[in-house]
Amino acid sequence: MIDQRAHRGWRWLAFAWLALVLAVGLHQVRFWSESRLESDILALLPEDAHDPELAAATRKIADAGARQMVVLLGAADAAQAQAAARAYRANLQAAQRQQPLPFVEDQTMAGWFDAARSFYAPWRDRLLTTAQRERLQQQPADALASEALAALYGPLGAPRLADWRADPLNLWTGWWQARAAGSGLRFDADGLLHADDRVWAVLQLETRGSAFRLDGQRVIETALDAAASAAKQAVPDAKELRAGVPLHAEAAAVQASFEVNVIGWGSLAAVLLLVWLAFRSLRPILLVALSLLVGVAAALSVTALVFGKVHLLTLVFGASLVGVAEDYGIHWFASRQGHPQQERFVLLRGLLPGMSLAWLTSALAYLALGLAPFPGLQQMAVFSVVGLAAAFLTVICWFPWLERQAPPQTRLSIAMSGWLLRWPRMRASKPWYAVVALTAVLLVGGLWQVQANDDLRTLQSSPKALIQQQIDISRLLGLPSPAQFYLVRAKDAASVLQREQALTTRLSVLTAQGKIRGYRAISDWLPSPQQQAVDAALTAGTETAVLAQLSAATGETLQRSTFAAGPLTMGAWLAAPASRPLRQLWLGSIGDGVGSVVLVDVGGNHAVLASLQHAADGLAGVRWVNRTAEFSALLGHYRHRMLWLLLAGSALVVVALWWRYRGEAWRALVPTLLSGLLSVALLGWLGMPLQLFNVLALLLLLGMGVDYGIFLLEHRGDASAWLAVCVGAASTWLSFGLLGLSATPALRAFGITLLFGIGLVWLLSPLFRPRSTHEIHAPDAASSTHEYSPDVTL
Amino acid sequence: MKKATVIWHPACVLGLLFCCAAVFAQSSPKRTANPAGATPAVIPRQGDALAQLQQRIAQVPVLRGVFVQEKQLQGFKHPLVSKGKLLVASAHGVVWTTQTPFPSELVLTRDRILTRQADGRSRVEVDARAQPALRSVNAMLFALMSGDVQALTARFNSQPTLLPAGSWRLLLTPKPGALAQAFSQITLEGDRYVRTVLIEERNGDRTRLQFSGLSETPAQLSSDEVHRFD
Repeated sequence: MIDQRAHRGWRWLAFAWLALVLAVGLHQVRFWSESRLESDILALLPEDAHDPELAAATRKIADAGARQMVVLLGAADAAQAQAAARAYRANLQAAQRQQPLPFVEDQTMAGWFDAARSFYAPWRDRLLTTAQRERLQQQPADALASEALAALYGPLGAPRLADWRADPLNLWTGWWQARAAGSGLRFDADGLLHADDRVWAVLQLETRGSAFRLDGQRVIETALDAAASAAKQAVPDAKELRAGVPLHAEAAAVQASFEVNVIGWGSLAAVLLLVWLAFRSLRPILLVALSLLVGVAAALSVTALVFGKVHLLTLVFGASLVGVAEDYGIHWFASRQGHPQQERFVLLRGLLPGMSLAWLTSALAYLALGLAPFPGLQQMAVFSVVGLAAAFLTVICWFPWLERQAPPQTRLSIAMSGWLLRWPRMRASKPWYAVVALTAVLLVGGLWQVQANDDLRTLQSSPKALIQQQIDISRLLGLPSPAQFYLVRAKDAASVLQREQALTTRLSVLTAQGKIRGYRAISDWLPSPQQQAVDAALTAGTETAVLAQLSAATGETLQRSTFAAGPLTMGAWLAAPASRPLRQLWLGSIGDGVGSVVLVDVGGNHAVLASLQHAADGLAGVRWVNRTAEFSALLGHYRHRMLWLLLAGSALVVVALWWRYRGEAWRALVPTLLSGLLSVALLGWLGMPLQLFNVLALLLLLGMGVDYGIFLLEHRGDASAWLAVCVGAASTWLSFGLLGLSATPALRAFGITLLFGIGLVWLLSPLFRPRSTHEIHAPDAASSTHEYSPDVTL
Repeated sequence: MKKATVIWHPACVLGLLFCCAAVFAQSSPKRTANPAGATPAVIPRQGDALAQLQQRIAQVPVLRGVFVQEKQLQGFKHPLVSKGKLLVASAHGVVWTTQTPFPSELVLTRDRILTRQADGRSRVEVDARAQPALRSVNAMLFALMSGDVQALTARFNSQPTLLPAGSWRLLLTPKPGALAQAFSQITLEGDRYVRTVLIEERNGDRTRLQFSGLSETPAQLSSDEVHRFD
């Protein structure tokens, strides 16, 4: 007795959904041709929305390094290092001729020194090192003049960068030398780096923005590997090190694409196999696959529309959705199999409340992931909720139309009801007391050993070798970490530079004490106008006096050169190529002022980071930022918060279950709670840390695990419901098990927790199932009379 | 990254070192295969001439002498003339003692370059341990002292000329690089010892060195002389 109007309504709904799905399909075509995938770990982290200045600083630093790569080629001596570099370059050039590479060698620094020297020359008189300033202030002009004379007549003209008259005391060379030493660059005359008892040739590479795509191919790695082996052929003991964001990005993309395939296709294969075993016909396989396809495509499209870009880790996580979203389709077919006589739309109406509720609880659990302000988790939440919704809608809108013949009983579906019967049930008996006691011991012992860990590095999935090379190169080149810095702010550029100088004075002391290896600040290359004025006056006074004495001593008339009339300004400096290596430290206008960043090279001494905060004490406008520590603290904070949310969620579930099942509510709840606790205990036994991601997984477990208990209460002894639960749980279990293989520690933690949890819930739920008046229902005799509590309108 | 490459123009240091070091250049250039193949180096006939040239130069552990240095600098009407004593010890380094017109001393060892003023104040001009650029210069000096032609031909194109009566002339033109930016050419002349050196710089400055009264004995350094290298 089908209401015709309702029927028409369903038809409209089916067509409306078709239109939406087609729109999603169109968007998918565009999405994949544009490749809007993202791999930057930082993109997963909160953007400091409450602190736009900090966000701007971080973004700027990240952007500066986003396309840079560095390759170091080390050999026993300079000639060999150069030979290795030549072979390396030649190989890259040959590869480039065959097929365009997504990167080029950055040659812009080649003539940098000459360009910078001529740029700075007019302001030579305004640039002094601290030691030079002290020397000019303290030593009398006589002493300086006699030193200058000795240099003039001596054999060693002293290496000088400026004309003699432009710099009689040879201060210019000293200034440049201090720049070189201060920036931690230890290069020889040929641009080779001497470190670790080796000579290193340095190659700077830059990816071409348009050509560089993360498509899961090892393009850069392959090219560099080939070049490295060419270099090793030329120089057998050559050592190659490489670093740079694009390398990590590519590795992440390759890894992610591998994992998406393993998890996605693995889960799909498993789901379809289970569907085949359970229903033994083609149509369920095709339709379940269709619902999954629509689900994943819609999830991807909506995520891309909401966030602009989709992170690779979202895809990896999203791939595990296959094992969850298949539930609705399987439910449909299991019901059809169990109740083949029933009219499809009547059946659908009967299923709808339960399915909606199941979707709602899962969706809520997934949404809870998005409560933490991590864009990555929010992406995963949106992806999952949309994916589940789309799969669910596909089932309810289309399946009744597309599926015309109920699947037959199969060996598996018959066996399943037998399994449920034979499954043990908890009761008050001695063996069960022993099991309970054993479980309690396991539980307490494991929980005792659990240790929390909120290290940010849990998000890091780069290959260890790559990370090690990055560390080595940072050490060799003295590259400061971009995760820790001082943020300097003031109303104008001149004041920023002045504040920077107050800070760098302290940092110089720390450097001299060996606590840090160095720092990078704009004011080292562009002193504040005040400082420039002081130094200009100092050099003018001394040099004029010295030249007068030298003129007298040599019988010449020596005139001091003229210099720029005004100070070197920020605008002029930023516009010149000379500022290129330091330019990214300037943040420009921030809030109602301007700002800059001072980077510190701790030289691997991470213990000192905690004390660097004090270097900013009492300095106006200077603030120490330790992103790593802040993120770790944030991870810890949200781990606690999510634990509370988990407790609140559990309480909510208790209330909801009690409202429907009263005295039997515990039967649905206990398996899930016990599984959650046992999962955590297992982590403890296995020595795995408890992280935010484990807690989030427990939230999901709560959302999904209770379902199994509910089904067993709702459909007492109904084999079709049990079949659906089993097939659903098996595929969910498998999907998260595959996620547990991920190279990203966070996803692995997630997967492993759910692997334990889902498995345990599945095993435990039947132990607590209620006794049914009719234990066996031959599936073909099934009717819809087993519905529990008819007082609740479904 | 390359910003520091030319900061230490080793050229001027090298200029001095050549004259001293060449004195000790050994006669037998060791022909080690150059794995880099970097320098096609000396064409055979020249190589022979260079080898013969080196054979004419004495190899001694200690050499003392007197120098006259004439610097013609841009912006100076008259040349700057200085005179003094020279001590070269192959095991230690070089002491360059200017006596007139302004007494001062320059000491070069494997690790550093140090200047001493008339009042005894000294200053380390260059610490090669802190500046790898100088380390390579020093390495080159010591390579020269041990007669390793490879090191020389790696950075200079050499044009040896053998003159009658045991004399010779060696013209050195720097290969492209830091040296070439500072120098146009260096000319050494001598017989058993280097007698004159002419250094021509890119900016037009010229330095002429003349050595005289060169003596190989005593072959041991006095304790006072040893002290100067400290």
